[in-house]
Amino acid sequence: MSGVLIPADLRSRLRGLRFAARHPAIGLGLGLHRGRSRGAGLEFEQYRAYEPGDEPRRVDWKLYARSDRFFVREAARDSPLSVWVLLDASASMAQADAARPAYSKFAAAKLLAACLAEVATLQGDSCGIASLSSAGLTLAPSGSGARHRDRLWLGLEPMRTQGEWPSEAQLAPLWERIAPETLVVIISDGLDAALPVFAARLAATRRQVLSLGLISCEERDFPFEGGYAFVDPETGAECRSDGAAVRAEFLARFAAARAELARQLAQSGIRHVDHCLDEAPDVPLRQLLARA
Amino acid sequence: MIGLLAPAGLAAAAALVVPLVIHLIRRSDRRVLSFAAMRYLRARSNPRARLRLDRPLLLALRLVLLAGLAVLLALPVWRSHAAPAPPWVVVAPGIDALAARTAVRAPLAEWHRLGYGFPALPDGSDAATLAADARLAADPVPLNSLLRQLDHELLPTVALTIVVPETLVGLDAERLQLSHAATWVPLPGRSPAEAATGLARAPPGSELRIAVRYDAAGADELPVVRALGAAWAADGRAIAWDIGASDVPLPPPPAWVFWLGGHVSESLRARARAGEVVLATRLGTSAGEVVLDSPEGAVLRAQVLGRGRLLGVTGALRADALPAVRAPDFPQRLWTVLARPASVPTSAPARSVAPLATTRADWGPAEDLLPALAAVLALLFLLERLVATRRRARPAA
Repeated sequence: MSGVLIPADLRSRLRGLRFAARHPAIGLGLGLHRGRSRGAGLEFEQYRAYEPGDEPRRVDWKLYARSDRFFVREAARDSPLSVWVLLDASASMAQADAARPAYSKFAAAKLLAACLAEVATLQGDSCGIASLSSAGLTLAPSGSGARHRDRLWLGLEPMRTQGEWPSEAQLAPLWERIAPETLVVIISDGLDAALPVFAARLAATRRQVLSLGLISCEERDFPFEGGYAFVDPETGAECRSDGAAVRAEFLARFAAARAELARQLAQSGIRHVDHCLDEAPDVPLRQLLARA
Repeated sequence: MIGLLAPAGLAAAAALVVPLVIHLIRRSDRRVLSFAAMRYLRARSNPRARLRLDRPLLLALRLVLLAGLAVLLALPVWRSHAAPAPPWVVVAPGIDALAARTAVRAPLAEWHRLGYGFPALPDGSDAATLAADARLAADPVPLNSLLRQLDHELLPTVALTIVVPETLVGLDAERLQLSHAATWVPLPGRSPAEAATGLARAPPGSELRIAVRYDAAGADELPVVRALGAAWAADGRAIAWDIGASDVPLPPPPAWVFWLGGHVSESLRARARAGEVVLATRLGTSAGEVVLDSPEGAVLRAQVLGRGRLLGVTGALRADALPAVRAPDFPQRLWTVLARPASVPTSAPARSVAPLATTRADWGPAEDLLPALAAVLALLFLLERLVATRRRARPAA
């Protein structure tokens, strides 16, 4: 648990955060989101014509007196939201800064996932967490409540980075678990070309998708001097280069790649926020969950 | 100016290579880094080929430190340029002061005797200095030794004029070399060392003994020997002759031996080996260096034996066998050969032994720089340690 425990100050700052559902929620029970289920309730939704089988007590008799017709009064019910947090567990997520070797991108992703589970639990939504890697999916079931949140936190601990971004076939179980109208938060480093495609498919199938991109400080600043052999953690490819000589070019290409990723995601209506590892974790969450 | 007493110590500067190599190796040590965003990197023209030095300030400090240590090993001294000084004229004892003053025109010079302590040259007025000068001439010191001492002691800018007798006696095996600009003026006069070295084998005032031993054939050679004795006696040489048959025992040394008895015995050779003069006739061999020759051929040969020589006539010492003995100067020449010591020559014409000039050093007295340099190096070492152990601003990555 130690790796994903939320610091107290961070946890207090999470209280102001709210998931905002773009689609009407379909969860069962009472929640904070505008639900699609209608019926008896407090919040008036609409009138509709009486149909045989409707309970007589639901007929609006005052309206009948005015219009001489039977109308049934329908109320909307606020429903809980279903949130899924998908963690990119490919090997590239193990990237960490030399200044803070223990705080890798995946550690940051775990912390953010724990925060999201906390936010969901605070507002009574159900939450599930999955880590995605070509070595296999790890799915924590969706659920709600404080005990479920603790189970999710416990389930984050053994997650490890391994392999690459999973193939379409490997992702198939997700489609069964993640129902439409679900809020999906993808936390990744955004380096895999398959990620925007997958996110676009999620968004196209009526899932509300949010994307959190993690950037290490070394990727942002490229502080390397002298000769290095840069090794890709996923493919093992090696690139011998001189740090200072390629800095400007790398920074330009990296910034262009991030902009291209954000553009692709925005095309699918996906809000994307980049997060550097040296920033406070609640900053990107605040940006991500801000009401449009 | 800085001079070095042991320039070979500078070879320690070869150690400068060590920090250079260390700093180069640390640079070429390529670090392997797992970097997820590697796909946006481009390999850049083999940075390994570029010679770059790690931490140049530290390297410079270390190089300076090592160079300073090399200089320290070379024993640096500080020499100031010597002030100009009046020239010196040194006159060897035995040369008349007045003659020297007329021969050498040097109005501003200081005049000195070339003797122990280099006393001033008397100008003929003071009886005491004249007496001291006479004592100097009577108790001579080898001129070469005195000149070397003078060369060492005089300020380097002093020009030297050396007045010496035309024949120098008491020279040693090494040619004189002076670092000063020296003018060599040979003048007629007696070499002061002549009396001291002289002819060791014939001390003046004592009689020279010559033992002549002959056999039957050697009796024919006796007339020549007697003629030689008469010629030498006419020259004023006091000789005690001891002529006898070959079976008569030889006198104890010192005595010259003329052996006219044919075969040279081992006891005779031992005598020659001990340094005695032994002249043998009818040797029958032509071995040895020719020490006396004539238009008809070699007359006398010398075989080196131990400390001395065996002088030998190949044939018989008779006027008919050896026409050279008829020459009027033969006795004189033979005497010269016999009387010459077997050691190296110590006298020479002064003109032929003029001093050679060595590299001239224009330096005054030297001041030791070792403590100052050591202090500077200690400071440098502290600074180097400070820089080397300083916390680096950016991580080693």
